[in-house]
Amino acid sequence: MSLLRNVAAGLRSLFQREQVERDLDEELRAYQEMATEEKIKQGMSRKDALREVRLERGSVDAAKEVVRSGGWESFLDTCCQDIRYGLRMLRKSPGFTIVVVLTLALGIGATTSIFTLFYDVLLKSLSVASPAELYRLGKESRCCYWGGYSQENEFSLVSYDLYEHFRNHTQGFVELAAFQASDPLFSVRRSGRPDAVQSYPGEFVSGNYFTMFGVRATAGRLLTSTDDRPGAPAVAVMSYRLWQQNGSDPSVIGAVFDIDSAPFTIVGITPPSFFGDTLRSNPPDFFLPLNAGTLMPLADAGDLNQPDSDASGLAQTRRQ
Amino acid sequence: MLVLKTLALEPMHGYGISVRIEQMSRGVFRLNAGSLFLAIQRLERDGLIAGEWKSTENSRRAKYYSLTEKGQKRLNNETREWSKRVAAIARILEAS
Repeated sequence: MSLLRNVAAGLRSLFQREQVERDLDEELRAYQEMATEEKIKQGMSRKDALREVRLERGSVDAAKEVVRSGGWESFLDTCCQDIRYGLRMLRKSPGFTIVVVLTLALGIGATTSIFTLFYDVLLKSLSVASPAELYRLGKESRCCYWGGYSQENEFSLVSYDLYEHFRNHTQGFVELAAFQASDPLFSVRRSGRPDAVQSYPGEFVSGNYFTMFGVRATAGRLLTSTDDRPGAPAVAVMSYRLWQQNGSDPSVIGAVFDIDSAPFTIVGITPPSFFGDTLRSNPPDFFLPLNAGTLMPLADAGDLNQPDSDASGLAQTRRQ
Repeated sequence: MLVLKTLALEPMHGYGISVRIEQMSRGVFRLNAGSLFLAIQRLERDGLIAGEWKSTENSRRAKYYSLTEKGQKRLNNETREWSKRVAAIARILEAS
């Protein structure tokens, strides 16, 4: 209640300023007058009495100032005055104003665009469960190309055997996933259809790849560790982009596609914002289990299980 | 608290309050107009006193303040607290 009353009184002195001022003035004048009359009664002249009262009790104007600055509204009032003064000064020197406004506008604009770029490229690029917990293993930033690679100078690509060893013997990570070091094009056609074979970018990934990123399927399911075992049924995941380009056909899930001449069942669709592990112009449209490489006689990845073949590793730290 | 106490007897205008305080304190407290009216403004905004314009005995308009129910309660509380504090300080001073 008292807060409301306080606010109301403050607002009144802001919006009915003249009335409030008049009241205060009248009250203080009456106060001064009464004090002066008291002195005159004691035998002083009016002039002396007034002077005496001012000395003893302070002047009316000083008292007004004290009372005015006592309420919360005086702060607002001072701010308004300062702003008005600032605007007046700015109007006085238009050249300066233009320079300041332009500088601020350019500054804000530049900062915004840089942040937008930074946000899109670095912060939003991996739409995964917890990007801050992702680590890429290796010394150099190299994942998807082989040219000029030398294991002596950099330690960025690992063989499948070494990946398995790391995965099974490293305690510090929740998941240690791997994906293929090159980015092949697959020749794909839906089984039993007379369409022309088309080529699409794809990637071999370890069974825990999607689990590690913490992404969920738009439809169907994503790959799991059971899909990535020798002898497991041949399954694959299709990108949301490709699925959407073909009319988001629900019958795709469960359908068999011939990928590089081997039949793969599509088990699910990636989420719309997931474009694989790396930012690149041709994100994978098909994700296949690493072990499925052996099923494909023509694929480069056919020798992924050989000791000298390479896979890149990506790891996620243990959650605390 | 002093202003509240003054108004507990009867409604009074600003000058009356200051004179009464001076008299009751036997001239020890002489209030400056600024501090007095600032205190009055605060008490009024807190709803402890209420002001009303009336004419004085010299047919001059003045704002008379009276104690509200809430003000009476506050006065009782503060008086009790004050006595407690003064008694405590006195005991401490006597002890040494």
